[in-house]
Amino acid sequence: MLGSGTSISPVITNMHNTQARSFDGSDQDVNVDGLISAVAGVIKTDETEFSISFWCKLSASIGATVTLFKCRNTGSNNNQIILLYHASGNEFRFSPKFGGVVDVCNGGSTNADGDSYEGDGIWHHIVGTVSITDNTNELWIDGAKKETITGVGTLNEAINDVSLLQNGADGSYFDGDVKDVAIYGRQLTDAEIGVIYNARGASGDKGLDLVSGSHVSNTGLIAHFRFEEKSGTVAINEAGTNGTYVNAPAITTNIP
Amino acid sequence: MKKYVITNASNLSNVDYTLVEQSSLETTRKSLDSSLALISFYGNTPSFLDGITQYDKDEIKDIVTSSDWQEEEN
Repeated sequence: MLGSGTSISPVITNMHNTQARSFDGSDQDVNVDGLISAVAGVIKTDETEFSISFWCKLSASIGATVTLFKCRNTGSNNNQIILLYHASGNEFRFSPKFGGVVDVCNGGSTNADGDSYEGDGIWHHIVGTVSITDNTNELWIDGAKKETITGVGTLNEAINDVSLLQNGADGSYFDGDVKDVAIYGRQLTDAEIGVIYNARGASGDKGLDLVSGSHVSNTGLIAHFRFEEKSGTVAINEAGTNGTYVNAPAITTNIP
Repeated sequence: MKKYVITNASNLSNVDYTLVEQSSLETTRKSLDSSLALISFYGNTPSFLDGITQYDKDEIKDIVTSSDWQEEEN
């Protein structure tokens, strides 16, 4: 991957890490219909360069598969990207599927301590990348590359639906806490992924930027939800069209 | 504690959305056949939900992750 081994030091920015949002797995998500054109603009036939960076902490009672992010063409199931936690597999999975050819990057069923991700009480940093340039799909968890699959398929239908925290068909709602979610129209480098992971604050109050800013380039950033709103239904996207909280996900001060 | 009920979708016109967690009729989750709807609330039971079985989070998740409510994710 480009940029491997580059040394980038995180810096303290404004207080961007003061709260997160809790989703209960029943009917809460963030409506991001306003992102469709931006996402479709970076997931294109033979041009896709894409990354999603996602902080989350799973509930103890996942029970069924939950969706973190999904974009797709609604006309078929043949062109989509899904980031999910697979309940029966007990693992995060990143699955780009272009032209009907699916690549499933598996995250493994245990965290760094050897425990299940479900209910481990630990924030995890999940990154999925797709790069036509490198011809790879990758899944990273907590700064470690879990799987690389070589061979990106050929998108043959345009993305026309984007969902955050549910599967786009009012199902597989996320159950747990969520913090900074960012989407890039480029492949994050290995070094950048490591920097973002290491930006988490052990004390929870360091105010480190968990996605971007002065330590990770904003180049290609098309969405960044910090979940720092104190009230209301607007989910601020610092890189584009805002989203809308659906059915009142709770604010929590438990943060990465 | 948050409480959940499953009501007939035909009753949604009686729901006062200022008293429940759902934002509106449009954001209220329905079963796949659209016959049932999920409503949740904190505190006292709103009168329009009197007499309807209440569930906790684990119980409602068993219901809304069933095949009546969502298609299986691959």
